[in-house]
Amino acid sequence: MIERFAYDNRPVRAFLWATIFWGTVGMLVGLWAALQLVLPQLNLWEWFTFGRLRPLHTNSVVFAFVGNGIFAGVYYSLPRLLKTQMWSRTLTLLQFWSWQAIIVSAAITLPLGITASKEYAELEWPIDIAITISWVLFGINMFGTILKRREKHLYVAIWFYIATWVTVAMLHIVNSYAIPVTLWKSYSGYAGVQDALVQWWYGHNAVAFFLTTPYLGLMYYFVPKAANRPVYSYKLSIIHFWALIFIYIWAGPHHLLYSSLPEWAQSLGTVFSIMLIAPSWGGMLNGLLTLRGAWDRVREDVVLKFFVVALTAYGMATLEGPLLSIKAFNAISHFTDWTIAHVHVGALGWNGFLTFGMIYFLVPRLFRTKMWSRKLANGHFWIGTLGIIFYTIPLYFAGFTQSLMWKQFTPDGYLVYSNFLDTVLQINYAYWLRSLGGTLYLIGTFMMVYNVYRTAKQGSFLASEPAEAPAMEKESREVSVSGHWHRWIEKRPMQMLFFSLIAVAIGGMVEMIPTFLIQSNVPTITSVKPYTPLELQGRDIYVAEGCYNCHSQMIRPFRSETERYGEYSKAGEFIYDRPFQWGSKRTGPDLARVGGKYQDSWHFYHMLDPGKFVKGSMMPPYPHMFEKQIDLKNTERKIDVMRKLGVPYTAEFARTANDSLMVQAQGIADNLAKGGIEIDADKQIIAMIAYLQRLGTDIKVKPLNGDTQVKP
Amino acid sequence: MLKYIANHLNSINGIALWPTISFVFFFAFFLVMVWWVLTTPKKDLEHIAHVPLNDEEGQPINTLKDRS
Repeated sequence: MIERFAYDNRPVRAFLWATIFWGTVGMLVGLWAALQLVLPQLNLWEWFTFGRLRPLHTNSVVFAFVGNGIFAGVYYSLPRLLKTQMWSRTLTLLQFWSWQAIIVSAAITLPLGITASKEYAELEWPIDIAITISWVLFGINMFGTILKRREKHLYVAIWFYIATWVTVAMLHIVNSYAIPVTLWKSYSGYAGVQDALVQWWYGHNAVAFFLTTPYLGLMYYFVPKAANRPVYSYKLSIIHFWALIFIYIWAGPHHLLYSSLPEWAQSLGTVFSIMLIAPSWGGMLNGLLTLRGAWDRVREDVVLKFFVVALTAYGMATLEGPLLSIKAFNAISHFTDWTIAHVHVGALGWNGFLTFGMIYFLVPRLFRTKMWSRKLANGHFWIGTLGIIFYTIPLYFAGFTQSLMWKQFTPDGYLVYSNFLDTVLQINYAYWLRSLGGTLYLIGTFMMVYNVYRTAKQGSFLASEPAEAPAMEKESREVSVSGHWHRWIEKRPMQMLFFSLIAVAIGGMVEMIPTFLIQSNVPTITSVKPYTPLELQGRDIYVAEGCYNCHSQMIRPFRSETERYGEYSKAGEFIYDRPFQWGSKRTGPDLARVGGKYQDSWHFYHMLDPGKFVKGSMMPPYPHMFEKQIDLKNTERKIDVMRKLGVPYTAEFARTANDSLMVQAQGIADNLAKGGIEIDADKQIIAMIAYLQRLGTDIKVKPLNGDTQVKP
Repeated sequence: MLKYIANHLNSINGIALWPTISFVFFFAFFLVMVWWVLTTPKKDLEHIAHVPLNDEEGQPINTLKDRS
């Protein structure tokens, strides 16, 4: 029996507009942050310093641009692949508006310094809960749609959507586990090495299951549609899917090579990362080969052009990723701009161009017209491609340069560039060129915005698209047992969900549980003591300012690093660090052992105006720390939460924490006064100095000559 | 919460072997799946591969023509 129904195009349009809007905002913020590295005066007020803007850029691009792109694509393709309408319009609306509200709250809280400081998971706990709810609404709607479908077989794109949903849910919940201190402040449920491992298990898999698997699902739908031919090999797509979700989840520790993470976990990350080349390239080739016999059309069709570059960028990024997971490469690339170049091949090329292709595919269809200007769309393609090239190539050069300069020794065995700033000034040109690349890419996006606007204006929106399909028959038992078992699973989305969860959960658990269970993985160091209340307050300011965006706290066991920064970092040093602050990039020097390296007064002047104090420094000034007071109201509560998490403070200590805080603060203020600096002891800068002077001193090896004055 | 989980997991005899067992299980599943894929006749999968193409018959393939 043929049934009549209609596809609802309104949510697709809403998510498309959101994708375009937030994409533009995210890229603008990215360009702003990029320019701050060459024009530090663009660090405006306390809200728009690099440390606060960079998380806003990453979050808006990942969750607002790509996130809305995922939803637009899923709300378009899922009903069509299943020959039914979305299960619930109310859920669709709720999900749309809750997701936009989450984005707005991120755009407000991140500049205010409200952050959990875990990369791509910076949002604080109330927003984390909202994300969970919105994601669950999406899941219910998706599974409701799957259950009432009219097409028996679940096309491979839907498997990718299912794996995305279940894995992102798991990652988000596990990584966001934290104990609230106040409405907008929480401490991570994990400490130090464990926190780092959970975070990079999340961080890596956010790339895998938010930026990759859903987009592969979209690729498997939109590339065959745009080429008007089925995917090159459906068999390959099955292997691609299972291999990818099995392997991806294990690869997280490659973000922590040469760190204090146990060696076995690092090796696990390397092995699985290299294995990832196979499914990733299988998927890329499957996409590209779908165009076999249709390559002439790539010259004509801008949608296909965008898709081809997207797939090529996916191939490059997924070859480079495994290479960077090999320790020999990682020793060079880690903490440098190489990483930034690498992620932008993925973000600008793969996610950006696939999204643009999808937009150029969908907008004319939704508005029952042709694209307003094919020329403009082609222009967008070329300027966007140039943008990617101008963005990434200079940063590759910057990365190599940084690494070589950091590691260069004189014949006598001294660092050639012992002043970190030399290595920063050397790559200034690359930062300019990268900003140019970003500008080109953004211009392309604006061209698209205008083109889409004109197209929508000239067409008429088809809100409800009539369709018809035969009702799904109940299959007799004999038929279903005679088929292959994979056919069995393909028809059963709930079982599919279950097996996907098992696959990713096993990987996650094997990676993490031993670090939590086996004492010997994190050897304790008796001289490592909890932070004093003042240091803890200072640390929270450090977290709020997003210092980790430019400064690592992880000295790797290389001579070039121990020479520059001191003894290499040990796992046992971080047991009270909630959240961990290892960082992933050294725009500035490592701070793991900065304690005692400079005098209090040095930090005072430096934080007040780094560019003036250290000629050529691009660090933002922090004058507000000299005005604002330490929030003494929450000290007790902070100590209490830390106690609950297992930090050995006594209950009485929490009650008198502020007294001890003020004594230490007064000591620093008095010390500053000796050098003629007048400042009240309750100002934030005092807490900041206390924290910085504490860093790494628990096991610090004293300098032989006892001289603590080191040139900046 | 983590301590609670860790304590209970710690009390299980031979838990160190679990990761290995799960890995073997997991890898075996993968091998069986690859074996199945390689042995399935292509025509069995043709219908599924065409699902995306059957949803809007008579649609223009390339909508990016010049402005008329």
